[in-house]
Amino acid sequence: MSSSVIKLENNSFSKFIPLLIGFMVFLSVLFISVAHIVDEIGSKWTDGINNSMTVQIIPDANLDSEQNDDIISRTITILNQHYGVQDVNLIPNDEVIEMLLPWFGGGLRNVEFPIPRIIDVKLIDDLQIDTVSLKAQLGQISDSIIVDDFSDWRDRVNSIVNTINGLVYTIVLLIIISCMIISVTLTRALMLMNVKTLNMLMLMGAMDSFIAKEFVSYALSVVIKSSLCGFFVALLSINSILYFNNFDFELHFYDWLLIFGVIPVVVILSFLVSIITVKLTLIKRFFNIEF
Amino acid sequence: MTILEKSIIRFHNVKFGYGISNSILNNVNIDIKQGGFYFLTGKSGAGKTSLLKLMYIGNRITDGNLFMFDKDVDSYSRNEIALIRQNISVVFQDYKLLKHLNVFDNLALPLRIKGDSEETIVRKVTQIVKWVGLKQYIDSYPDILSGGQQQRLSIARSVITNPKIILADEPTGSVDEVSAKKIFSLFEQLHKRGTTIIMATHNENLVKSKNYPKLVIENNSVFLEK
Repeated sequence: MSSSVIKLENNSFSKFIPLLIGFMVFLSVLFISVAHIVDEIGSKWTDGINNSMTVQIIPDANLDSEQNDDIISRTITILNQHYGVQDVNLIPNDEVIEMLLPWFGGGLRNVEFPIPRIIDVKLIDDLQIDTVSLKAQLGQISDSIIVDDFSDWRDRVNSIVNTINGLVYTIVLLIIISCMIISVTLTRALMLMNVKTLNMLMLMGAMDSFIAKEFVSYALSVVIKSSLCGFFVALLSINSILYFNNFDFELHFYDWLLIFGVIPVVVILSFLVSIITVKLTLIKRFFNIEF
Repeated sequence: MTILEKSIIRFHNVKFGYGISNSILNNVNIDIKQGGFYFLTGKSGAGKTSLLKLMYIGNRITDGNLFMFDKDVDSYSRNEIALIRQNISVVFQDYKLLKHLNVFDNLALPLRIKGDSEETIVRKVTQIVKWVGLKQYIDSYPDILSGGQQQRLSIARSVITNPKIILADEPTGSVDEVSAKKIFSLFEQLHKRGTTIIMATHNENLVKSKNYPKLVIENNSVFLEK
């Protein structure tokens, strides 16, 4: 992969560096994948409650059952008439009790307990419903009507997902910065190990661009090879984890683009910092050829 | 002798030293003519290597003016200096061969820097290894060659690009008498072809036996003895 024509020397230190770069790329890919998995989990959680809301009506002990039923039917009417509502479904008492059993135990069927009536409301897709006016209208019927559009839950899930993503991408950024530092170290180490060759090149009249090409192409070939190794090991690891844990996740084109993007980002940045390192070294050594 | 009148390197009031207090060369005013053969003599530590280093622009002068190829070195760009260095070759006492490259690659290096094609490189390297008698060692590494062979390889490397100037720093200092004679005859052949040669040496017998001008370094200054 290297287009070097002067066969640079390396030692055990420069042989250790590819492992380090490979490991860094492995970590980057792993973290980006974690970010996507967290995103996917967040989406799955919020998708189930998107375009729906529930309305709870707590029976008023001071009213008889006919009056309470009247509140329910008026609520259903208002809901059906409200802009953005697609379907309104009053959940039967038995189903509500089934839902509450895990919290209150089996005795719930036998006790006199004001079981709240729950109305499941389906909303038209992607239509913003005016919950403020709806709550105001229902509030005129009774104070005991609670409208829950899950916005708090959604906000909390989004906040957790965003925090995790922020942390993950900060770590990825730090890893990429580490890769750049490693590339600088690799280039400097190469130049130190090949200082005789470097001095000979300058003595023989090699242009800066020639010397830079020799050292940078060598450093870059190391970075590319080790990045690819780290990348494929990471892909293998992620797929194994997902497969053996029966996770059902699908990475989309954009996700793959971001994961694959780690390699060009690492390579391009390494290329730039290597060139700068070589140029700075040459500036210092150009008029100071020492053997 | 074929010393022409045209100046190729000219020192004008040149001073050189490492730091303010460590002056190595003072008020140097010499004129190296194109096509000339010069011995450079002086005691150990007198500044012969430093003077040669200034000639291949391996260090910058502290004060004064250094003219190379009719132009002040300070007025050259970095790329122009690189091109000047391509026209100056240096032969060292300890050869400075790259041990991790074989004979072919050591000889090919200056040609690769110049940007010659691989075909030209193979042709020129094949020619020059015959000239220095190292044809059978073309794939060998410098470590297995004798001192004389390494020095011949070093000379071959320095002339393969047909430089205008060859600076030799004690080129026969590390080889036996027979090898030294062979090496010196190579320099004389190059001189006859019109290459300017400046050879630093301690070998008084050699200097006396040849009728070439001498650059003498004494008390930090340099003067020309004809």
